[in-house]
Amino acid sequence: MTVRTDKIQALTGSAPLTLPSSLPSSSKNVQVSTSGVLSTPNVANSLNNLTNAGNSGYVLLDHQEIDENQNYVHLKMDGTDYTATDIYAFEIWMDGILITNGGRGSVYPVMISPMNGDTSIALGQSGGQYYAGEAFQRGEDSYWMTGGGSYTQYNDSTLRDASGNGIGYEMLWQQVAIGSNFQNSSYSKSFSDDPYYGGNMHGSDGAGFYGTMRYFNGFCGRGWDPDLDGIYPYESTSSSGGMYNYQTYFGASHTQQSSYPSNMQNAADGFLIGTDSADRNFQGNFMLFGIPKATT
Amino acid sequence: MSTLATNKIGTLAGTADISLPKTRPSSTLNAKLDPSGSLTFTADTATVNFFAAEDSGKVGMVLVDSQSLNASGLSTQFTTPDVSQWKQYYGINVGVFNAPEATKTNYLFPGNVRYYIYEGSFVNMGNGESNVKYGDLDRNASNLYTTASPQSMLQSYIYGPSGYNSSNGSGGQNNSGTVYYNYPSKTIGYSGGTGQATISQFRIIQKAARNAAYSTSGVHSKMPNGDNNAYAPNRGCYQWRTRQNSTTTASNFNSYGYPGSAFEPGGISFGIDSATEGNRYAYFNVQCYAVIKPTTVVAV
Repeated sequence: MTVRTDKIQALTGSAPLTLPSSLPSSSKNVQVSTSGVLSTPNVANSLNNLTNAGNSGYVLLDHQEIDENQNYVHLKMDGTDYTATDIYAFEIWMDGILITNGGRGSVYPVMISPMNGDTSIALGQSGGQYYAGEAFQRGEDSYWMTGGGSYTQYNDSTLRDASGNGIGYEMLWQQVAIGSNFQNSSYSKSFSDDPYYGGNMHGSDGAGFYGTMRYFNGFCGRGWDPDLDGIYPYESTSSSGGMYNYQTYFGASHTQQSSYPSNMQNAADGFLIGTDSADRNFQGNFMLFGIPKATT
Repeated sequence: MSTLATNKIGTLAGTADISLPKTRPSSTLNAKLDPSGSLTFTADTATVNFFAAEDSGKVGMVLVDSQSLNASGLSTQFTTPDVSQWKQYYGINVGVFNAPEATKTNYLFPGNVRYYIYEGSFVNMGNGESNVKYGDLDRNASNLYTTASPQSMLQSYIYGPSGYNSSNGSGGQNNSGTVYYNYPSKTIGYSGGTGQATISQFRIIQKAARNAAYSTSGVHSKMPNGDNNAYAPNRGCYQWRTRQNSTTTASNFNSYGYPGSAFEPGGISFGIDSATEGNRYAYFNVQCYAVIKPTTVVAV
């Protein structure tokens, strides 16, 4: 074989090619730097969405692990590739614990609101404009896909936002809290070689609430979907009950007016998970997936 | 004018020389160098077994294991504690112990997994009702619970409609919340009946916590335990938590059903305690995913 050095000279100008000093341990792509250095670097292939024919499927929009007490969890689209109206459906994956500053064993509400920016766009805040309802499948009180609905489902504003102000919400369940502010411990400690915490964390509250839910996005026609597991909370200090195997929520629009209220004029770009008191906090692992609209 | 530094070729990995391709590619392709010094042109392929977050770029969910069986069903033997005794089961182990070493090292290392999700389905090709159960495994595919003594756990379940034995599937639901002592083997639902080819589908979450935060839960859908073609399929939900009045101290973990510092949950055994019944659970398939602490992508 003849080495055509004239081609190489034309390629690099003044710099000669510098070969790698060692061979790679496995087959790797060859790169040439601007200074003529030939290398086979390690590559960190990554994937944050499924793609087919130019259209994205699932996108992991946000992932937060919270290891210090926070009064709320705001899952939101921090990235730059999508806006709220791009996302036709969300999935929320949660593994959270509820913490209080008192003793363990008390039950407190956990609420979720769809958000647009820092504004709640929860349905059910006023009557006569749309319908909202919920359905349960839960063990303690023997509900199987039963529930209720009204034009003003959850029409109070007791969910605390980032500033401590009350906002509306679309979903609510009760959860036993870990006590004493979870002092000297953290969510991640449960997964460590030293997982012990003591009397302020029991089985009913230690596992917290976890599960997956889907939410169809939109301006007025949006709501929760029961397809996935739902949430597994624990709503009692009783050893013979308290486990809601599954809780889900349906929301659907129904207007009797010529125009929609402001909270139905924006799509969701995130969700705020919170409670009604500054005395409660959260830790855990929270994920927000999105399913974007097709672009081709 | 530059020169080709051919003298550098001989220094590669001691004795190996670069072996150049003999032909040009028909289209623009990447060049690859392998450990023997061969330089080739190949189309790029990249296998990615995780999802990273769009905003942070950190890994959040990892494909851990995927298994599927053929018509021979659940036939592999293993022993697991069950109701105060050690008992032979027939089935498969699914979990982190089957993941590639690099995946375990980079993302599924001890203390980094928050929970596992198992999704699967199977079909009962036999004639008769039986229970498929699951038991908890640690990262080495050993039983998470090393004693066959009853473990005190909380179990809650609900399934419905209770009229799955009724022609119209109506009738409400059945439920229970109780202390459950036979923890290691948990039923994910019976399947079958007197008819053949009845399917079941399931989704299980197993938290990887080592204290009272340990919990598993599952939903399953299955055909009814009868062969009346008017019976409705039904859906069940189960949840198991460590005992309500247990505290997370080192002294009581075994009796109250949480793993303890020495054992990290890392898998599940799916099985049935009869070889005959195991054989008829054909085409059992399950995929296992892990949700992990947000972790930086590792270049390989």
